[in-house]
Amino acid sequence: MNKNLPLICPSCESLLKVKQLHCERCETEVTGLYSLPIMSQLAMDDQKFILDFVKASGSLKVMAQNMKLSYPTVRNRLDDIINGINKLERNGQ
Amino acid sequence: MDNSYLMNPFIRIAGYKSLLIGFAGLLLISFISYITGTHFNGLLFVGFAKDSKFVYYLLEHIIGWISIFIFLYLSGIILSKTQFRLIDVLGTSLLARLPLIIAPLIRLLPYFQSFVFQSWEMYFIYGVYLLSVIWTIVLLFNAFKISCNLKNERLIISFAVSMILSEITTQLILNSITFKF
Repeated sequence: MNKNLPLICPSCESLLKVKQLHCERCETEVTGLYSLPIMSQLAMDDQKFILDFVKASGSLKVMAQNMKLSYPTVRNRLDDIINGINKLERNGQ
Repeated sequence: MDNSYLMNPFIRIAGYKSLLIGFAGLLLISFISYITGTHFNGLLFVGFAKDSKFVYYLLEHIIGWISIFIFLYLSGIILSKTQFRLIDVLGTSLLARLPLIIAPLIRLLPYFQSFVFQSWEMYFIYGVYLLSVIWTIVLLFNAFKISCNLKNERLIISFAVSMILSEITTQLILNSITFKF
């Protein structure tokens, strides 16, 4: 089962941070307070889109063919993701 | 509703594909309009008279299409923050005109080929035409929205202004060339 990484606090709706990391092999645990990378803060669908976009060598045309969508639909989706990333970067500063 | 082929085919069709399908549709609409004597003076006025050559019926549709394309494209250039393609605006704005075929198609039926002024047949054709124009406007709106990636008030205001300017331009051009046909 693929578990989705929770990003938003269910109590106050703030962005969650990483407090603890764990090594499954040697049981080492690291405790601290780490911000999630911007990629991880995006919705799963957006992360998948970015991965597919990289695999398609950054070609929106190929993306459109693979997704069976029109070119401007795919480009608009990319624009929305770019806007989302810019917003996250602004909020992170 | 928004994602359906009937109301927003541009999610899947745009660019050269929409231009080719739209152009085939334009030729067909012009031909059926010619056979049935159905004139399109812009989107708002439809008239019935077998009084012109085929080329005039064709020009009515080409002028109506190019006119709305120019205003939508200019609106996109001024207001859109994305790098949209000319071919998408050109193709989708042509494909959006396909519902206009409905009224001329109905006029192919023997019952509607000729009718008395202010008869129910005439009002029926006008009613069908009105619905097809509303459908066309919805398609044009979605074509513009997807091609230029505009949202909210920018989208609504620029679309309304483009439609009005295009309608005025189409009327002016068609009125100025009518006597030549």
